[in-house]
Amino acid sequence: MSKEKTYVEDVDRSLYDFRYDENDKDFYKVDSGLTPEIVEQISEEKNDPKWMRDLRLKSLEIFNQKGMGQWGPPIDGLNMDDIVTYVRPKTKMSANWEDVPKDIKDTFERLGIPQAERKSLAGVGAQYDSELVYHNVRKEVAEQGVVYTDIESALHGEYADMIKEHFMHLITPHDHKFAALHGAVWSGGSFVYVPKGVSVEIPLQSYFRLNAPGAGQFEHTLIIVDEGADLHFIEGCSAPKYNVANLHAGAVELFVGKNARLRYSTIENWSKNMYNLNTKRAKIEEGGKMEWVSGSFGSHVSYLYPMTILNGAGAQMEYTGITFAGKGQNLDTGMKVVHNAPNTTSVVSAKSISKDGGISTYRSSVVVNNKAKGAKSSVSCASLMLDDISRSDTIPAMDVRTQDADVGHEAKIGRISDEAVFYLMSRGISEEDARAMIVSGFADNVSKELPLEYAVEMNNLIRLEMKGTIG
Amino acid sequence: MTMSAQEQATNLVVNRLPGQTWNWLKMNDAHVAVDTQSGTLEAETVKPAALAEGADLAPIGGGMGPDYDRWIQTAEPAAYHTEAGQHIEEPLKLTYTLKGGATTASATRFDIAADSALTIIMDFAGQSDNAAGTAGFSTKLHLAKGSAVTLVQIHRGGAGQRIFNDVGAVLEDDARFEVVHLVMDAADTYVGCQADLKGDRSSFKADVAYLVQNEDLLDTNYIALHHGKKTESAINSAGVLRDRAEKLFRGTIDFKYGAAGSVGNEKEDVMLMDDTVVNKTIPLILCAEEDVEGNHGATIGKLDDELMFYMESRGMNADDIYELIAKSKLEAASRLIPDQAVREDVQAYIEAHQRAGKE
Repeated sequence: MSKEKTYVEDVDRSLYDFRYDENDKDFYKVDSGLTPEIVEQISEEKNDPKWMRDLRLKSLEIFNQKGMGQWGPPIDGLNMDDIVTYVRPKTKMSANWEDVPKDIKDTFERLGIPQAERKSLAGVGAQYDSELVYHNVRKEVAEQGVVYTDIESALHGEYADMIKEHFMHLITPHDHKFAALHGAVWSGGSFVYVPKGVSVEIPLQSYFRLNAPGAGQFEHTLIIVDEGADLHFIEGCSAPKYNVANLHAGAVELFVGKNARLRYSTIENWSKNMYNLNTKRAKIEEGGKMEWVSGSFGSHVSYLYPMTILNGAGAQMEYTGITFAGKGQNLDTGMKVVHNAPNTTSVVSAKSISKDGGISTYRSSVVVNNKAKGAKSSVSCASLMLDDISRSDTIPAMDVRTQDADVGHEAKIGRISDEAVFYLMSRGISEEDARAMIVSGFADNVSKELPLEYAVEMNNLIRLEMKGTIG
Repeated sequence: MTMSAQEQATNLVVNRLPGQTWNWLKMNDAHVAVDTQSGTLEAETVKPAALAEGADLAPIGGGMGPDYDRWIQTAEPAAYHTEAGQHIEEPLKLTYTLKGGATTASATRFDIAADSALTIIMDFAGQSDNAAGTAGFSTKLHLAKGSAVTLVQIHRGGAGQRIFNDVGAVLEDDARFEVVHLVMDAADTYVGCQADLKGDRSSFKADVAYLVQNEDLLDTNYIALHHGKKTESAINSAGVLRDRAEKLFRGTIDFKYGAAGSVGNEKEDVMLMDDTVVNKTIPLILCAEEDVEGNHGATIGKLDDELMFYMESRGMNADDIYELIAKSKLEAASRLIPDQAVREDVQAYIEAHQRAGKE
């Protein structure tokens, strides 16, 4: 019997793909392109201290000197001369949704952010284009001494020294071209400080919405979880689809203190004209624990590899991620970990799904330095191909420099098992539903790590992605 | 390794990873300087009478890459071919004595006719004085429909030598290619090996075993290209690193569009005997076909706790257990050598080598 190939339709993204036309009188924006004058203009607009202005200009120099790597998906469609690096709604950040301009408030209402805040979050930051328009933290959380604010306020307020001490110290402009770009034009983002011994019981969330066509978003997230403290931070993002390239080059710097724990969850759902060139890095002290939970569904091109530096004895890292690449998407995701101290551990579970011509690449590095005696690392990655017009690559690297380490890696690539589909169909389930169930089960490692509301959202995204998978 | 003033150094990029990654890892390729105006290194040959000389082959890619091929083209190739249906029982034995103070190159070509079979044993042996030198080898094969080749390459090259060893094969329908690589010596060793599984149901298996010690380097690049339907590949690498040795294993299973029903497996098992070694591993699975199965597994570092417990409960101490397991990895590969005399000779070498390493 000849086997018929199945092909997959594109996703219905109407949930995220809505827009409000931006009226010039309501927005301040710089010219497109990247020049010292534009960088100075952004710095002026944000009333930067001198060290920050110097950092921006130095970063621009580095950006202009650095070339692109010879690896990863092509980004030929991204022309920095066409990108507007700063678009600010002409409104002040508020802690009250009623003060947020109606179109912007409606946007976040449709995305369910205020509702989620009421039900299950300890605090929310909402960024629209280049600036935060809403930021609030629950009173009882603030009373614990937890600081959750926009990074500009922190830069000019009582935490200015803390910002200066940490800002772009973990991710430096020298790291790569887009880290340098970020250093030059960053805007928006959140600052979180959790004091010693404080456990934040329910998550904080930042949501990033990029509405302007041809714009870039360069938010900076800086989180410091002090000794013995505990935090779950959720990051969400989306954008309407345009026919021009948009760019996201944010930076996330996380400092996890001795015996502290930080979970950083991301559901990334940028539109399919987005170049998502984001950088995330965490440094973990003795006995601390970093947990990454990552779902990548959107973007035209993604380069995303959260990096963890296990810097103190007994520090731990867990990474749980799924990437779903559909039509027109080339998603290059994974992780990096450096074992830099004794008895550190890392556990990685990464999954990817490719369909409808989508390209998914899992890329990783596990480095175990000579100091990391007793280090253990276990990496497992699995890739599912849903048709034969897609592509899935696995590129994991390991560099081990001590005898006293235990490093394991396993990778699998394959398709949905015909036997599993047949079994479910014999129980009265349609083929489409059977395939969707199997894919949902495949992604279960991520959804079960998310709070219920986000797990539901992720499963909905998968269901949407799987619609029409039977041709 | 420094080159003499007379040598004309050419910079070559070899062992390029089929899917590139972060440059800072320094795993994408190897950059080497070689005097490409080298002389040809002849082999001491024990040829089965039934094997004919001469082969007319189209260019075949290897694991080392085009820069390397341009160098090796300067050597006059030895060439052999089989006749259709001919099963040659006696192996072709090629023994190379590596020269000190010189750069040499050697190329060998094989045209394996339909339904024929051949075993090739190549021994890269160093001179007893361990004099420094550079040698490049290239073995290219075309395996016609239903043919089978077992290629055994033994590196015991001498402490001062820098050795490049490249293998490239194209396999037609139902052809079978098995490679055994035993690497036990030489200062710097670069091994490239590519099998193009062009024909349906063709298969490739590589068994690699190594002991890298002192300040030696082993840099490898194994590639299985799955073009045909229902093709199979297995790359098994097992080895031991001691002292200040460095090893980089690149292994790629590349499922091309149309390779439906294919299966590829990679496995690497590395034991690290000292705290000063550098072990790098990058196993790729590249996939442009839905109906395939690709698997990779790697174990790096210490011996399994349960195995240690079992052995210790039998009265062995940890050092002896590690030495025993290290030896067993090389011996396991040596048992795949089909010729008894060569096998025994290699096993004696492993025994002596192991003893020297312990001291």
